[in-house]
Amino acid sequence: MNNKHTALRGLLWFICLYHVVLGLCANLPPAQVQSVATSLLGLHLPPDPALFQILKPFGVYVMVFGVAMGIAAWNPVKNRALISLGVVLFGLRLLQRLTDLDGVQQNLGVASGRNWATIVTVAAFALLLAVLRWKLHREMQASPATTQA
Amino acid sequence: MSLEIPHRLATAYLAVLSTYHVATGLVSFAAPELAMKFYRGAYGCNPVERRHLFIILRPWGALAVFAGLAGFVGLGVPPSRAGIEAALLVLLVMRIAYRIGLRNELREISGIPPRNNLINVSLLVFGSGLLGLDLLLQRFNPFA
Repeated sequence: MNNKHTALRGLLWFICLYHVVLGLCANLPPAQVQSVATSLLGLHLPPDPALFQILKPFGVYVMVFGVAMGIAAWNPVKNRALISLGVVLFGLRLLQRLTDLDGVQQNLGVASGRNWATIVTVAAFALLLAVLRWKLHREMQASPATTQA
Repeated sequence: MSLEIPHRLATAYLAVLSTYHVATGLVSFAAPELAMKFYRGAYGCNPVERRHLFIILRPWGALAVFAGLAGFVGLGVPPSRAGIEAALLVLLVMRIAYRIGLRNELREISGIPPRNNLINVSLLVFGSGLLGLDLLLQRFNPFA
């Protein structure tokens, strides 16, 4: 395990933990999913059984993303490609939130301010992860021997 | 038994799984209505209420694209392969558990016929077997 790159690894562990917990929460009973979605994300999920059913496999994908970020955190040099993909995913999520702005607010009952707060948060994570990934790349170019996986 | 054969089978499966995830993920992300038609044809999934599902399909598509691209990274960057295979194995095993545990709800709410569900479970079991066997035979350690 590589003990360097503390900031990058700390961020990756946080992303890992957040997504694993969020993915697990998607598999809770509907009333608890509604409660978590409202308190954590500001979403007001309608009592639609099909929605809660689709949220379960969706949660599995969220969890797997978290696991992948955990693997990257364990050894960021060896698994640096996963970090780059993490940046891509945050970028796609940002694009989705921006293009679905009205849909998310109307269909999932998210207040406008809360929606923008989420967008800014996702953008900040994308930027921070991209900057730290770029820093890792520069370090590897500068001293390949000391950044071996 | 040569270790090469299961490894090659796992490589082929990883390529198919990754291609599937990138393709369906992109369609779900860019055209959720088209994706819903595909899922109806492929899985028999035919929910009545769809307005909210379309909103969920887009972030789900993004996550599927991530899973697919991660699979391709595993194929192209051997040192990363064990970790990525392990993560995709977790995905497949959890989907098996979900399809078995919620088989009644899948039939009643999403209209997925038991036969379609069984076919999907079989494919998932086959895939997870290949990836699990590859991890064991190649002595891959995701945390090395």
